[in-house]
Amino acid sequence: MKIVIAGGGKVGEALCTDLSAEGYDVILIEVIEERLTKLIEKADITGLVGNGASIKAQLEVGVDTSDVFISVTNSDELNIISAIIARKLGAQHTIARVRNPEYFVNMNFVRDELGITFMINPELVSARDIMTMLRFPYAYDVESFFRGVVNIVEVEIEEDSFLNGKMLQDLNTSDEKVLVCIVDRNHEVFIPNGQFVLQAKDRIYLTGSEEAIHEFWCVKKSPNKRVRSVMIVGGSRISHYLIEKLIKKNIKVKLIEINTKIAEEFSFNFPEITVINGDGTDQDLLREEGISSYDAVVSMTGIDEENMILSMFSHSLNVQKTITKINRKMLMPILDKIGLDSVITPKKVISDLIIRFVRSEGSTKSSKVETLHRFLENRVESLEFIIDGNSRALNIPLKDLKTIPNLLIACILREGQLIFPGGQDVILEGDRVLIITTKKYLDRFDEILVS
Amino acid sequence: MNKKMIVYTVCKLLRLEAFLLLLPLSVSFFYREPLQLKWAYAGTIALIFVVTLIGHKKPDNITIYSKEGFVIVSLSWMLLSLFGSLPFILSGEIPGFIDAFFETASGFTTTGSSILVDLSVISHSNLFWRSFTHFIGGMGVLVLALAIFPDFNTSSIFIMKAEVPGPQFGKLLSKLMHTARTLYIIYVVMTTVLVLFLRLGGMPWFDSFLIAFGTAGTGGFGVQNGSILPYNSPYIEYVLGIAMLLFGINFNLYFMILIRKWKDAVKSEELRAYLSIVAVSVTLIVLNLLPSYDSLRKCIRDAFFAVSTVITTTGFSTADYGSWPAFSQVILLLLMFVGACAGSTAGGLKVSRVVILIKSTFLQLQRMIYPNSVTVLTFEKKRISDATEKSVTNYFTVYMFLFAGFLIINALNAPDFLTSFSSVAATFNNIGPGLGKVGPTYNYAEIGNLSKIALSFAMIIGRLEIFPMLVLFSPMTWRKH
Repeated sequence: MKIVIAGGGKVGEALCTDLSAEGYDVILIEVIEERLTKLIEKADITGLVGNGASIKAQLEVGVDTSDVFISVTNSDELNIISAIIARKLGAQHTIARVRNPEYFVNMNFVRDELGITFMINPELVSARDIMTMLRFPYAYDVESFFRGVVNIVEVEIEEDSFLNGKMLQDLNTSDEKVLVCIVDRNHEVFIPNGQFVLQAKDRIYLTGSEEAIHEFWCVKKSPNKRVRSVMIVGGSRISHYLIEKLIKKNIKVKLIEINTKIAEEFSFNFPEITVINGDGTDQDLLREEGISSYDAVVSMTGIDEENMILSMFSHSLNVQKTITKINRKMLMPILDKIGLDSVITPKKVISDLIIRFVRSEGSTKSSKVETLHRFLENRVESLEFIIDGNSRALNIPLKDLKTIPNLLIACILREGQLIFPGGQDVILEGDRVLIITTKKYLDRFDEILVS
Repeated sequence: MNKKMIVYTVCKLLRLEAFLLLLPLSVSFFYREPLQLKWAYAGTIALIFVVTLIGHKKPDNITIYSKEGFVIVSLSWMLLSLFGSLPFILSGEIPGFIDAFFETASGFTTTGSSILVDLSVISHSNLFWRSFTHFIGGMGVLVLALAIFPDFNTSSIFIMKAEVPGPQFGKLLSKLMHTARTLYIIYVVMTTVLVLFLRLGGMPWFDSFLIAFGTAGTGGFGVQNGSILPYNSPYIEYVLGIAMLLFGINFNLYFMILIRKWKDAVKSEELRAYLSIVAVSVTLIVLNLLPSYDSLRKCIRDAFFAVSTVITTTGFSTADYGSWPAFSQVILLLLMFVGACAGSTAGGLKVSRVVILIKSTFLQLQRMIYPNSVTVLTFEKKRISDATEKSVTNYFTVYMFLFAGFLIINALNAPDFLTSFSSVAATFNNIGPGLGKVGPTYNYAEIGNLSKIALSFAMIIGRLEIFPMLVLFSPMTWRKH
């Protein structure tokens, strides 16, 4: 599959490395020659120095025969124009990164008349992801499947936890509503079976519906099931979208913003929230505004380091949930060491989204990938498939199904019913199946079978 | 420095060589040669497998950077020549180690300088291996590895950059593996066509294959004493003359033709410069030679073949240009330095570098005359950045320094100036025969051992375009901090 990317910025870079590693033919159009050369050395791609919106440049790299065209330069208008041109030249799908919410109206017109398959707004998507994180305040990471019916959440087992020392098959044998699907022990990844014994300090990934996970995990810690108040530091675009969503959920919000004008604007737009004009890194101010009484603190300033320090400070005051925005990916490994775990990186959010789209489009043969999430520095993937009639796995009891190692069929959604399958269960046509695996780059369901 | 990854990759390449050695082994069986030859090949293969056990396990950290790429390329070329020379030694046909190493290095680097005096006593399998090294070395061993091993990781771009000749490296396709495969497919198809053409000219099958290998890699090892002369066929001389020129063209142009970008391919500035140089040189030599020739046709044929063989750095020979007038010899000597196009199998400075150097000189002159003028260096209708221009001029400087160095070492036991100078030029630029006592009718058997070692290195350094070998031997590379 041939993919043309216009713009080699942060998102473009992430797309180039990830998509080429998955085996797609990637061609990058980038204005700055040095940046292109660097990327060609880093990822197995080829490229052209030029303007992504120029027809000549697009024809030279063969957009007319490409499957997906992705425009992720830093200008909304350029991205829209490039995508329109690419579509007219014959690209199958076009994706444009568009930030300005004014362009986000009338999406049918955009799709049908302009021919842009979809526009993505990194800030909006990030805000949505933060909302998911806030739904599970005790979890380090949350991903949703089956349109939100099933979630995978990452939690850590503490010394005094009821799970410490338990064998998996001894857990809630009566009605299996929650499943432990991945265990991360000292950075070693396990996809556990029934005989697996949990230990303190294990990071485990729980699969189940929101209610079931709450019930399972919060047996003892009932007070903090839900987030009812949030303090946001920094009035960024993400904050804007986030506040909109929080207000809808009736959650109390306090925003701290250093710039008076921006603070006033937020106050005007959202009369429901409290806006404080002040320096978010000033600890006295934060104490004065009662930071420790909030269920969650979201650090959204434009400076990574400030966000990190803010979150560390909130941690020290025992705020249960802190969410940190980090722009630079290279800071990620050290965050874990200093105890910041709920991190949002807008460029990673949208590159994941695009990759998911590309992969589901790439597998046209059968049983497409619906959603894809990656955990633990991309070492584990969870994929959602819709099973079609040609699958070789149909109507075979799972215990007789010969699958590749390190693979778990986590759950099945059949006609709105969530099933955690046992050995006797079978897969039927039309099922939505969620699998967890350490094997990378699966794009068809039947690839899980041993051939 | 990721040493484990270097060892692992080099061992993998050596195992690839072991597989390639199965070919001459089968040739040996086919011609029912004495047992010693079969043992020589089987033994070498077994030895390689035993030695490469040290790099059997894939290291955990597989990231490599340009530094490692350079080291892998230069190290593997030296070791390939080392292990490739074992069959010659074990079979007893080239008993001396230095001679065998010289011959193999000459093969892999597609030089074609030989220390063998009488080819008629050499067995088929050894002749085959000798010419086959040209074929492998022409497009490059690492490119071959990239084409067939799917698990060569993305950092391999550093390896390919180090091995493919030319000032700029262009990827044809977005996947490195597909690029390498496409290059090899074009290469193999062209070679096969050449084999058929040679066979049609009445050349025996065995010779057709070997001569085609020598042409494809622009190497130049012959099969009969006297190179191409014994076939005594103007047809074969013309076929080879044209074929050599074709293998001296940038392979990217063939790819462009494949994807039907004819116009772009024909418009290539380097191609035009290359063909003009050939045309001008042939004309000048014909004019110079005509008085001493009876027939104009033979004169043109000899001049064309000599120009083609020298500019593409192949080194086959028909007429003895060592006995031509000085003017013709000087032109040939200069062509040795020019070489053919970048991205081809040929050696030398490469036409594109020469063109950029000349343009750069003119621009310099212009800046002298009009100090305030703004000048932009263009090549192939694209702007050449200052960094590229600098890298080309620097390359030329380093090239000259190394040339001088080899000239001094070689002069220690050379009979005369012409021999000494042309033998360095002929090996450093991967041509093969030089002038004087290493001319087309002589060979390298008589030169001293010190010269043989120095020239072996000159060949490898020349083939890899200097810098990879410099990186390998530079203490800076191995320093920890």
